Amino acid sequence: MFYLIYKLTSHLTGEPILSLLLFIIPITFLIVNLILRKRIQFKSWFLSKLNIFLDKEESVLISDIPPDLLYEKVLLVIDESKFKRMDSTVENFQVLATTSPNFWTWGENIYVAISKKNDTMSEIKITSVTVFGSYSWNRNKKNHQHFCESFEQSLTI
Amino acid sequence: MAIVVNLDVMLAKRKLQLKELSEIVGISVVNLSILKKSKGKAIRFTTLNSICLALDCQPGDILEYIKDK
Repeated sequence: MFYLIYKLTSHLTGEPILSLLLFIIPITFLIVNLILRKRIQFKSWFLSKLNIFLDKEESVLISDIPPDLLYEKVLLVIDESKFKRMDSTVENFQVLATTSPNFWTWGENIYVAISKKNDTMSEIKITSVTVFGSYSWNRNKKNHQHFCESFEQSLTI
Repeated sequence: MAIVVNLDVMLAKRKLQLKELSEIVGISVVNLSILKKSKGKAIRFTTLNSICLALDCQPGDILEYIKDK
């Protein structure tokens, strides 16, 4: 199929090298993203505003649980949900989880950052970002919804 | 919050650590800590049952209602 598209664009543009580049650039971008997605150190790459090829959605949850306890709780919630825990840092309370790739998607990265809002409240910032594609087809919203539901359910002990 | 969880009081009376209780009742330390701090949204009867069994106490020894001023 890729070959047919390549042939078609090559025929339409009359530039075989340009057509080849049209395939090489996104494929390289995808491979780089698939390699980088497993480490939390590359969070800024995925969440950068300049990275217009990825769709991001951020949301905030407020809780009265202290950040250190909340961090442990979030790890527990992620382990019991459909997300797969990839990486976490206890120093700044950050967690990286992913969704599995399937026929429709290459998967999404879910970055969770916990911080202290004030003396009694904590803030959970959840950012869902696609690994490849500038439109998530509502998957980012569903990931956020799933995380919130799992978190709320987990508070029934 | 009007409902206060006195789990720490009962743990002290029974000279038990949270980790030990966690092993007895099969609930994670994180969840018991949240319960102890009265930050949970709800408590299951099964959880209450296993805590009462482990601490040899009544639900009223763990849960207390304090009127809001």
